[in-house]
Amino acid sequence: MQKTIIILAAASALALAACTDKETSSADPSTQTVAGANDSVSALLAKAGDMKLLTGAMAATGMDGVFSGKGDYTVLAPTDAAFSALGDKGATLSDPEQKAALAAILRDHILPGTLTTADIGRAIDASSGRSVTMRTVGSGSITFARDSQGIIATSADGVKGKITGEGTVGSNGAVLPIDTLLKKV
Amino acid sequence: MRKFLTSIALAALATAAAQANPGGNGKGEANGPAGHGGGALTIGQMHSDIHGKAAKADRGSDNDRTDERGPIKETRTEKGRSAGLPQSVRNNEDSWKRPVDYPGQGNNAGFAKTERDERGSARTAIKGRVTSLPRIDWKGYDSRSLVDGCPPGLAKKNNGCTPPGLAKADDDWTRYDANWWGLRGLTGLNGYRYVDGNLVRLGSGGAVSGYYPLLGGALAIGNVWPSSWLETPVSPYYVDYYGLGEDYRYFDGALYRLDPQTQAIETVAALLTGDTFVIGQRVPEGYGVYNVPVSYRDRYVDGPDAVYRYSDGYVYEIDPTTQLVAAAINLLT
Repeated sequence: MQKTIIILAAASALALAACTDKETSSADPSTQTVAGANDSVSALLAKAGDMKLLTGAMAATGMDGVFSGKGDYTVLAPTDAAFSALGDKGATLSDPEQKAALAAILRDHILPGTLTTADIGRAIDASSGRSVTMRTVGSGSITFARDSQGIIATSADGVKGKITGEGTVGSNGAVLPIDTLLKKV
Repeated sequence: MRKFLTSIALAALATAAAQANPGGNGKGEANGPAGHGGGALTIGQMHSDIHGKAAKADRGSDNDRTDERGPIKETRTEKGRSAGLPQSVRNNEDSWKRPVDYPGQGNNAGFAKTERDERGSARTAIKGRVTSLPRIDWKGYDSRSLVDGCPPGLAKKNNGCTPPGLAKADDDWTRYDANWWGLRGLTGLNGYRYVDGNLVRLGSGGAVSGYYPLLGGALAIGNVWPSSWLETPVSPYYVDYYGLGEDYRYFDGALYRLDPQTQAIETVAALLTGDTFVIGQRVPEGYGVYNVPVSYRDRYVDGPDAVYRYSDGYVYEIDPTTQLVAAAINLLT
């Protein structure tokens, strides 16, 4: 995969800290650099080398169309290995009868707006509880926190996954790779 | 599992090919005459791979659903548009009938007040910044009643609308509640089960008496919108922002673009949080990270006086001390 390097140094992000904390910070937009940001999220997913199963799943459910439009989204993108780890459940999900279940799973991996790993990290660091929560366009939310290995995302039903790379930012959102499907199946 | 990987990878290739087509507009071109989108073809391939037999006709090709087609747009009355919707939604619909532009645009002072000099010069120059918005009650839409009757796909099976064997193939998913399925505004769904792309309510004798169609299931690309769920009033801003075109519907956090003639779903145009931001009230929970779109980051930067968050087509300015929403910023300006 030809990864776009994204540096959003000093970009904003002082967390609303789960909308309860009151920390603020300033950010200097002049230091923000976005390389290769002309790709849509749809294109970013298609170019990713280890997200073919996710890309196929998005197409199967018809959800891929939203990533070519004007709406702005960040996809917490399970890698192919994350899908493979589902085993028999994954095979069940590939049945045409289960496209609705697949859609319900995928939408809990989609967040409104553009989030970078730097944004998330700064928000975590600024929060009093060392964790921040973001709404999904599904039924729940994702909580981000750090551990010794990096940023960990936890779904509303308690599934934890690790963000495995810098991710990429495009014209209408971002793609952040994650090593686990963030929903109980 | 290998077959699953292979089949979804094939789907990815199909998607990439579609994206490489410069003529593609995402609005029906991928839909063949039978209503198959790229995803429908993919899932057929997946099904064939896994089960070692020809793929079933996808529900996306549901010619049998033509009996579910709603009346074409011209035949609908204004009164009919609100059928099945709660009063709060009908009130919003009334507000959107006003001949005005989007909040923050034009001279629609009666609709949205553009802040000029209330918070200092730094932000008064922001075009599209408004301090009054119509409240969008997405949850009101979501709490609409069931679609009465039998899902078209199940009716076609001519079994009296009783799920075959109580849907043995779907049993894995029946234990999940409405939240799992993302049905946000619905409660009390005990006794419902997943059948054929819907959550269905079983009546006496095990027959289906009503159903909720699901994203990716009954509400898949190519399927006809349930005729008893008529047009959903959506603000003009959203129509333009998400490019909804002439005919569209909303349900359960998703905006669908429809073919005006056939009422078939052409595209899932947007996925929404459905969160209600009200100026002067506290920001909804779940916006702990700066998430402003890239193209607006040079203009809306967190600072000691204001922080910014994006949701469903607007950037919101929030007072970092009080956590109150100070303004909304129209992104079409």
